[in-house]
Amino acid sequence: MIIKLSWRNLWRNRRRTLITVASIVFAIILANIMDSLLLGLNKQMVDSLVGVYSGHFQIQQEGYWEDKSLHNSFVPNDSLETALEGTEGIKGFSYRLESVALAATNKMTKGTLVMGIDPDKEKNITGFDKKIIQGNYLGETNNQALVGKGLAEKMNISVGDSLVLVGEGYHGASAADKYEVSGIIRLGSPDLDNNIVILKLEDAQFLYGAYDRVTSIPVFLRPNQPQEQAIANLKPNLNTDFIVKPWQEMLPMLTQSIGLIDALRVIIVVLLYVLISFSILGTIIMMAHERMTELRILLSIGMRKKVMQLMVLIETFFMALFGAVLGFLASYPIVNYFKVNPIQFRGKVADGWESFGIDPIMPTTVDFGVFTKHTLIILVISILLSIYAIHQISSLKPVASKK
Amino acid sequence: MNVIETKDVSKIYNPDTIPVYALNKVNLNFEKGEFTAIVGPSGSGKTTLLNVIGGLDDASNGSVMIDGSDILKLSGGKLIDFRLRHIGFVFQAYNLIPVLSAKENIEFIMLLQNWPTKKREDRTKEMLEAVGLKDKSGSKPSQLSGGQQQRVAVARALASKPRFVLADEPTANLDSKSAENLLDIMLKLNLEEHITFIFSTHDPRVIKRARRVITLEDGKVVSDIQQNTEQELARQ
Repeated sequence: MIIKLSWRNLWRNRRRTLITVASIVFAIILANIMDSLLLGLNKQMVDSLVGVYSGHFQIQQEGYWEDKSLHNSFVPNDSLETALEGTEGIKGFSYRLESVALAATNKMTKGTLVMGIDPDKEKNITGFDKKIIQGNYLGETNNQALVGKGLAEKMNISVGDSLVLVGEGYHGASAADKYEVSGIIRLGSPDLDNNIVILKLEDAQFLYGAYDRVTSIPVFLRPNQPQEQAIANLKPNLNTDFIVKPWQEMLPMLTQSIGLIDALRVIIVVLLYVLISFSILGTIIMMAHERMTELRILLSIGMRKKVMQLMVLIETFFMALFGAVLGFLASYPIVNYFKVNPIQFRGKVADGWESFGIDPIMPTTVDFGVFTKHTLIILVISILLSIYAIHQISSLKPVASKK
Repeated sequence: MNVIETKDVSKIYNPDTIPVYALNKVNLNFEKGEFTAIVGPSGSGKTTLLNVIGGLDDASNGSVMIDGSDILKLSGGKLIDFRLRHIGFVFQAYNLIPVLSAKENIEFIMLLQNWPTKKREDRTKEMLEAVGLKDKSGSKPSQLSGGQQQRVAVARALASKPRFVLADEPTANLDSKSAENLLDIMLKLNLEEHITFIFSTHDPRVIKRARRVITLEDGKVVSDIQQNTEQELARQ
């Protein structure tokens, strides 16, 4: 009977109930779109930077991050490779040898970051071959180099030019060799593009006299694979000399940007909740006040206050549930549309995004966890707001019989 | 046997400044099955007396004994439960629950009292027949006339077989035909179910048909007259 009473009370003022339900629906849709867009943006940034360069985490020799020297390089063994291949959620991994060198043409010399890569592995995992803007990706021939776009511009290097790298090798050996520029690459990160020279791993190992050695193994995860879980699965199988470095520690700027977007996301969603709370509260106040006499009559004829409070609570819950479910259902096609047809930036905005290595699109993330979260929050807010009516009822007096 | 005993019941407004006596040492006994009218001019204390007897209002002094309990000493949930179990109310403005049908309104108090479904449904049907609204059981209050609504209110008050029914000017908003009809029903139920009726009224038709008429003036009982026997009432 209480549920029946609550349900019917809800429809006593059909228009008001529908307006409140509509405001809940729109708030949930807006919250879901906003959350999904900003989560999509975060994912886009992570995929662009982490998925292309650093990997979701790297295996490094203990001490390498603090002192990026070839002395902290290591020789990957079969057990390490077996451990990586046996870990669930890992899409792939690669071997890299990174160090510094002076790059010289016939006119100019400049300090550079040299990265030796396994061309085939990187092709499959990071898609370096798709980042070539001039010339060709690294082929079968040895002593070929890819030069970052910014570095090529600064040193006036073109495809086919010769480039000499000079530096210090492993254990103080001198390192020097000559390479032919096979292509110009744009990785997206200005820091990398202005400094990087990419060689085949075996060429880099030969240059530095660091035969079979690597400085890091970047590991890439499958989509939606929790990073913490993959790391936790891998760690017990790793030799204690190795450490696992997550991208959040290697790319602090990206971590901060994501933190900023998350904070923005919370602020916008909280503002939406505040607005919707006023709408629900307004309805609750009106519902409570226009029925005060009726509630006093119910009290007079023997309905306990607790039962009345439950009745009002159920009314509010019904209203919020109705709006929340409709909002949940309506959000999916909209959010999914923006996932399939992401917002695309053009012109200078697009250039700005690209200069940070991020694709200038803003797809949404369809995550039912996000939808459920907002639905539950609205329900909890409604229940909390109905405390107003519950409080009013607790101080209710029976109706004077003459009325 | 007394159902209600009021002993020196007073209700005083502004006791510390200029005291106004809404009730002044009212001593009354009501027996089972009475059909009693409380009359008097406006402001004489009729409604206040009903409110105090019904536990809807406090008294400043005195006691109201119902079945050996002083209801003026009850509070909170106990008082609400007492009203629910022992008293039926009929209000001048009917005060039915607008979203419930006539049948559901009559059932409501029995539901609060947790009557078994079958017993509740039988009693509701019986009450709808008794007040002549069998064909209106599914109608909402807004679909009923004033007289019909008041009949539903009487049925609601009586359905759970309370010890007594308090009615505050039950015919005040009704035309004469509806008022006569309602009185017939109340009288019939009083005689058949032996439920005590106490009502305040200005209506001479109601006063004429009451068995006992108590007159209040300035919060005091100025007369208490037995005027009809049960047989006479039955004949009426």
